[in-house]
Amino acid sequence: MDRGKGNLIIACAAFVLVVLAVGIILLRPSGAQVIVRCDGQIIGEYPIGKDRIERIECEAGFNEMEISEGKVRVVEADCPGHDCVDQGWISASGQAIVCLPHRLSISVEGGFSGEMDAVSR
Amino acid sequence: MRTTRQRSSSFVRGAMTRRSFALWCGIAACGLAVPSVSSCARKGEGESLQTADRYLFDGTYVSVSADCAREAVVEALDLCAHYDWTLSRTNPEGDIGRLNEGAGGNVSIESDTAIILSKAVDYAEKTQGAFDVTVGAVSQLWDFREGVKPSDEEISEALRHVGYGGLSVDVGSCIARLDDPFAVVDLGGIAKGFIADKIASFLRDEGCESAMIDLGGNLYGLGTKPDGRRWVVGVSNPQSEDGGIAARLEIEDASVVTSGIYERRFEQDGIVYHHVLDPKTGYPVETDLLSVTVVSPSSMDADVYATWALSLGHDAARGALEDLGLEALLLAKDGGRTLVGGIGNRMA
Repeated sequence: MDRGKGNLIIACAAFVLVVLAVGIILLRPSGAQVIVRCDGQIIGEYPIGKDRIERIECEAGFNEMEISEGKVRVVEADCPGHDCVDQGWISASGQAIVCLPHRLSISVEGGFSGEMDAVSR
Repeated sequence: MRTTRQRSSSFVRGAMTRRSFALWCGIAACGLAVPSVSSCARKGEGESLQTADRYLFDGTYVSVSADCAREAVVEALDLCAHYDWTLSRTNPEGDIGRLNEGAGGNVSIESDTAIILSKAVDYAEKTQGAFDVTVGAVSQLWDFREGVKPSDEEISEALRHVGYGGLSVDVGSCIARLDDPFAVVDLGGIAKGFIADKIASFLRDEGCESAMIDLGGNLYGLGTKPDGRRWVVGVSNPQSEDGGIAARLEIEDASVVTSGIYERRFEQDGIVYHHVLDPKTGYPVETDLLSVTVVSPSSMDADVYATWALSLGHDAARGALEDLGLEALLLAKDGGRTLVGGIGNRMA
């Protein structure tokens, strides 16, 4: 009886693993993006895999962003505290650098997936 | 760490009896059944949409799907075919064909043709001639499908006959004239947008509250999907080799048009020629952009301004689109993406 219960737990665990695996495969991002927002509005998206330096102009000031080797940081900014510069590199999906005085956020986010009704090209 | 892993793996192996295996298989089968059930449901929802499709506009795939009577959908597609016939540069019997053969004289045309021509003149003025339907004298020399490039001499000779100033349109009396007998009107950069708007308003008048109009990738989502959710359309990613998607946009009563330098193109002597021509030079526009996608309630605006923005290049395009109050997605050759006018709020 105890053994049957154990089997059931194993089976449930296996089931959860299968569902997770299928979910991860289906929802796998098509490549992480660096999303830049001023005041909550997206103003730019850049693939994290491609090195670049971008000057970002929000209304309150500028920040210079560097993407290099799959990570991103703020190199320079004209905000008072320089917290954004001090934060250094981020690279994982879900991480963000925020420059409060400029109302700027730079976040790393996953790609797109899901069904569509039509494709514009 | 290592011992834990060993213990758990032997635990799993020991527990994998025949009975638990059968149980596991049963649960896995149930798990697999879930997606197939939901795909059935999806199919059922799609059945309320009537679809009619055909190849029009010189070989582009056109489809109209709408949540209304089959007759209305078929009639909408017939309307597309009619506009294709009247507005085509290559049909000598249609309005545009006759206008081009008009030898400098007045030509009577349908009222819709007069409207699109007068709109074309408006756009030419707004874009200082960067959009110019009289580009036909040059565009007819190029063949991007077969890979035909005219000689430099042919292009400079043809450029003398380009200029929207020589096109006059009287919408009231349905008459148009090309002053230069060698001038040629080509509505390629505006016709699909104009037609998409016309089809949308036709379907609306027929009582259709939900439709997706796809004119070779120029899209119009009328209303919402039958289930009340917004239409989800993909923007193709020119840098992906396997038909990838750069973004998914949710739309309702809006058109999405993408203009890109990657669709119709050919290479000759190491130079790539794409199909977006500059009416000023007669050659493909030089740009740092791969594509521009515009979202607008007017498909004609989206069509014209997407191509215009593409020709302007990234920096000027962003400013121009902002000034027009349009939502747009710019995909640059260096891999950057710029979002204009709150299009980010539509991203699904």
